[in-house]
Amino acid sequence: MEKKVLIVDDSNTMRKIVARSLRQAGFEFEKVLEAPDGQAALDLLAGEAVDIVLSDINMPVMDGIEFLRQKNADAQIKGIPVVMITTEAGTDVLREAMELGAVGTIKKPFTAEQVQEVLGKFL
Amino acid sequence: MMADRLNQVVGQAIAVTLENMAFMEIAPVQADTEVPTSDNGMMARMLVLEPFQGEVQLAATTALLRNVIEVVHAFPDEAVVEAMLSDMLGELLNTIGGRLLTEYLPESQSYRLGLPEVGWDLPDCSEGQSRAWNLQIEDQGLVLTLVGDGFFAG
Repeated sequence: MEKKVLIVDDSNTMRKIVARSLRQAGFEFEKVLEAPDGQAALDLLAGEAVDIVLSDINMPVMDGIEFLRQKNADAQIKGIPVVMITTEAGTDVLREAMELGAVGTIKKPFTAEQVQEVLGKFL
Repeated sequence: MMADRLNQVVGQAIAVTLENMAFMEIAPVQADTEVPTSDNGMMARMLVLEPFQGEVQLAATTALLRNVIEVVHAFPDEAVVEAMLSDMLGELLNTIGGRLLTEYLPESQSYRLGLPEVGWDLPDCSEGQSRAWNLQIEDQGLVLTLVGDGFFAG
């Protein structure tokens, strides 16, 4: 079954790199959606069901932590798995993300193999 | 000893980032390397907020940034405009800075970074010790500068 993914990152460059890595890792999606921050991601999820979200943490407008909080408060989208893609490995903020339900982390800079290893558990 | 370790960590952070993002290799700067200036390049800086106050700066020629963009975007469906150059330099800085601190600080040590700020010629308003690393990628220069006593303590 074809799936949909949402990539959340304030950097257009990083969104392109994540999308490229997904293809290189062998994942085929019916639709690859993009959002530049957590608020835009929530707005998008209100109208479109996705199978998984890949999100940065450090973003303007709404960061990845607040995005997780607000997603958890919405019963319609609470169950969508979120993988954090971030430079901030091993930090308190990453621990907080896991406590808020993030299902995995990918540390920047990453390879397609690392993306495959983490997302393979959920797709 | 500390300087050797910082050298190693900076080199690895830049090398792994460029390799993973754009499949490019870094090399020591040569006499004919085009060094980034305010005329031919852009500069970005990002504050280190915790566990010490500092700054990571990255300067690159626009030619290098265009080369990286062509790799990342595969076949750009639009002209490479200033916003794309800024975004690329900011993401390079964010990724290199994060990797650098992850490797340099003790494993259990948290850190917090600001958002990258990019410009053609940012004013120098940093305080503390600083050190720059000059590298080249495909004959184009890249300069990473660390500012702040916390990078050089110990």
